[in-house]
Amino acid sequence: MWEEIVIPSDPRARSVIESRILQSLEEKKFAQKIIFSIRLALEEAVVNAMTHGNKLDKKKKVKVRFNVDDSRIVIEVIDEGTGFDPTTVPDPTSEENLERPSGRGLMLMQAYMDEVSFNRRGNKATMIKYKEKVPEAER
Amino acid sequence: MKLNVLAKDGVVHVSVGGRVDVLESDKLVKDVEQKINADNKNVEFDFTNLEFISSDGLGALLRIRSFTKKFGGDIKIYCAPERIRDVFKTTKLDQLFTILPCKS
Repeated sequence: MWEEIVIPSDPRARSVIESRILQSLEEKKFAQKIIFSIRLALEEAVVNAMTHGNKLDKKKKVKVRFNVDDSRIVIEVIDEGTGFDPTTVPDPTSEENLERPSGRGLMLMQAYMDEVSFNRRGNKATMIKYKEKVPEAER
Repeated sequence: MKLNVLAKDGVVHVSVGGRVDVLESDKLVKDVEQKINADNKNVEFDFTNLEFISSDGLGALLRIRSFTKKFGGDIKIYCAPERIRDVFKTTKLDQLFTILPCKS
């Protein structure tokens, strides 16, 4: 069953999302290492949606939908911004960008989740994390 | 975030625990940079009780690193839990920061 939480673009409002998702993951007995990965990716996706997507306009909302079952979690993070093209985001691990204090959110989402994709407009991120490691060919 | 900052013998000792994220990163930078000067230009972080760090937290450390460089100082990080060390490795920031085991 999908659950949905809608919050304003205020970073102080985001803890309700993490609490609700963590509760679901613990009920399904996801390992703590996997939960840490999901927390980190969720934090990055929600903060990106608020700051880059909605430009911290509190009248604009961030919607998070999620579905947890015994094998995986699927999370959607949707903002009201104009969207972006993830292929144009500079690689924060390249030598010329390594000392930059920002620009690591997308990279962390991709590194810590098993699948990350965006809709064509670029204002909706969909992230999947499996409870157990699943070979890519079987996904 | 639980933060304790103490300048002593040329080193700014920073114990940071809990969570360093978008809401905490500016406070971390401000409180640590206040203690950095020509006499206390090196910073040593104790991450023993650090549970979570986001990209904003990493950004805060990079801002502090840049500030220490102005005085010719550097940063060392002690006792980071495995999951935190993994974030540094994933972002390749282990190439910029000296990450060391716990002090005995």
